[in-house]
Amino acid sequence: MSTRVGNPETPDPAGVREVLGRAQLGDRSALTELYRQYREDVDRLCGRMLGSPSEAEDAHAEVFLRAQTALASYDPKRPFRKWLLGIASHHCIDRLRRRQVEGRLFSAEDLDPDTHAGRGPSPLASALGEEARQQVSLAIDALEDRYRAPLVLRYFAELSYREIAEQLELRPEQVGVLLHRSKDRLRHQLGRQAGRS
Amino acid sequence: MSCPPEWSLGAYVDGELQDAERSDAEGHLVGCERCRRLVVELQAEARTVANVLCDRAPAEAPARQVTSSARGLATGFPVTLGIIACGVAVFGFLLKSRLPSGMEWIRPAHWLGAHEMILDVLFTMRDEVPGMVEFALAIAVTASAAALITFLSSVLLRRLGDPKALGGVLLLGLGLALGDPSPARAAADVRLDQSVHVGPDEVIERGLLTSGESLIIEGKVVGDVVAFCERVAIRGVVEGDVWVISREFELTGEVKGNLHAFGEQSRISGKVDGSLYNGSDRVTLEPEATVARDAFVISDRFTHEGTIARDLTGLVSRGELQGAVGRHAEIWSERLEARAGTTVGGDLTAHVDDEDDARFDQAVQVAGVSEILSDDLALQHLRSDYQKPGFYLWRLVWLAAAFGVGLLLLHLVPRLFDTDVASAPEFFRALGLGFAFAVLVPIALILLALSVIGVPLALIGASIYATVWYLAVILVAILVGRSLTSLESDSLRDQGLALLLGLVLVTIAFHLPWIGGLVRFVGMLLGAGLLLDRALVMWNARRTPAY
Repeated sequence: MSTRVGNPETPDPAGVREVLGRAQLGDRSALTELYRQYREDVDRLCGRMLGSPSEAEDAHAEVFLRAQTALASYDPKRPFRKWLLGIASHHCIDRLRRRQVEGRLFSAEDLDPDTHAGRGPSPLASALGEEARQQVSLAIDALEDRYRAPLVLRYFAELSYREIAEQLELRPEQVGVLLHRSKDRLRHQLGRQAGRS
Repeated sequence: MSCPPEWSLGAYVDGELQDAERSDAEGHLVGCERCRRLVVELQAEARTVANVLCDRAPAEAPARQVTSSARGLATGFPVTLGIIACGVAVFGFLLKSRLPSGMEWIRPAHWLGAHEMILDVLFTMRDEVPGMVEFALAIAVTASAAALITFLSSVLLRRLGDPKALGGVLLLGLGLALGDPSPARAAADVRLDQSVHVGPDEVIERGLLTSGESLIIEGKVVGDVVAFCERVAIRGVVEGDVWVISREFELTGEVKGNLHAFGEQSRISGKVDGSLYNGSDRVTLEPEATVARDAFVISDRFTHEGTIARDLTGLVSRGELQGAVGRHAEIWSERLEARAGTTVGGDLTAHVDDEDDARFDQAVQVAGVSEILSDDLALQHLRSDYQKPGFYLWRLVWLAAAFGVGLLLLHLVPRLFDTDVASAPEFFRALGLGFAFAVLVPIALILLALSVIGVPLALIGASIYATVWYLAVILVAILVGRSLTSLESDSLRDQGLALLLGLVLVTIAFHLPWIGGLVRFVGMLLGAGLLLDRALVMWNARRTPAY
């Protein structure tokens, strides 16, 4: 009963593969084309991960530079978007770490898999209207970096737990706990926002 | 097994559990509603976060396919009507043409002679088939009736809320269905002996139910008589109603209630204080016979020499009239003869194939209009119907009633009407289901009634059967209305509008000249089939948890 949101495993459409092929051979126009196609996705990921538009701009440029360098070693069998977003997240996480005083993103407590007691109905599950979604968006932005990052990696970049674990230098089992925490914080944040309004 | 931690369920939702862990989780979910609900919630959360991050609008709930109803109906109806019209044309051709001898059996009027065959089947089944089959059938029908009642009561319970009120409603309903002001139905004497004989001085204070070889009543039965025997003779008095299925039936005494007889031979020379309903191969009302109310006769040969105080309606192959009819006499037959001595207090109408097939003697006295109608005149008759204002008034009354009932049901059980005829195959499937329902249920009810103790249940079943047909029309009206109004909302007001529009169209369609009856026939079958399908789906959905 997999409910993976989105479809990360769909192969790239033929057009993209063609452009990719040319880009890998060093065709500059092809590179520009790729850049144009995926700019928005990368922007969005960086924006969400880093929480600040100016940092996101810097990151964005950096990401494409790295992608260009790594393009030669890109395996065409992997979906391109995911590969690119993987590079983007890697870079963003580096930046996040640098923000933390100790250079670590997660503490032991964050990764502790204790079970919460039953909770009430989630405001997150029932957010359907435009306004509700706005609230969720604000709440996500208001989260702390370390809680926001896993959500973005999973639900925007659509990375698998293993890939997320690689990015965050964790064990795959810990990713589940982390996401659970993140969603919990998000619910709390939503609740706080609702209380204030 | 205790519930897994929430983060583990989250990983399950994300499809990230290993095989062994996943089957463990699924195994737990089967038996744990709390966790199932949690999973549903986690799925919704994941969707929301993804949608927000990817800036996608959430998937719209699938809009009701309002035009699909039209498509199914539009393709299905004409095809069905076409097929039936061809069938009727052939049928009609056979009816009218002179067939070579030996082929007479094709004519439908001769099917009335199938009485004997049907009775043979019924009696054989009763005698040869072991009682267990009857018993099993009775249980099956009882169970279905109980299931239906349970379903209805659970719906009512959700609405009324208070179990005591519901109990009161149910009891009232059952009471109305079974109860009867006449003391006759209070209880019945059940006699399953081979031959039952109620002696001249004997009085049976209650009703009498019997299934055997013969029944002879010379005394008095204070209640109703229900008999399924080879021979039945009533020489005494029955104070209640009489229901008889037999090869030979004779009434020389008196029946104070209504007489319902089905069999091979019926000979009546006594008195019926109520109405007479007789479907026998051969029906004879002797000169001393009296029917105080109406008489409805379906038979192969019908001879009337007695007195019927009110209306006589007959569907016969050969009819001979020589008696008295208080009000109107209307007979459809192949051959009808009204001899001298016949008196009719109202109109005398004969429906025959050919004007030559009906003969009214000069000395026949008819107070009202005496006419012989064959096909040529049928059209005029039809047109006159449309000129009567009463016709339209009754249609309006029916429409208003159906609208009221439909609205009530839309409010109480909206999901019952949540159906669709998206394509022609679906149309035909529903039609087939409706047809099976139409044919099988009466058979089941008759068999149930034959088991004698099942008579009250058979009566309940019969009223449910009639209700389904009524609801079927309402459902078809709703479908037609919905497909034409394309209203998307589920509000009662919009549904009510669709219902009203549909009812108006359906009423018009059902009363069109010539094809109206056909359209009604097909429409009712369709509605019944869809209703049954829907009810089955809803019944199943109740028992399996949705997740």
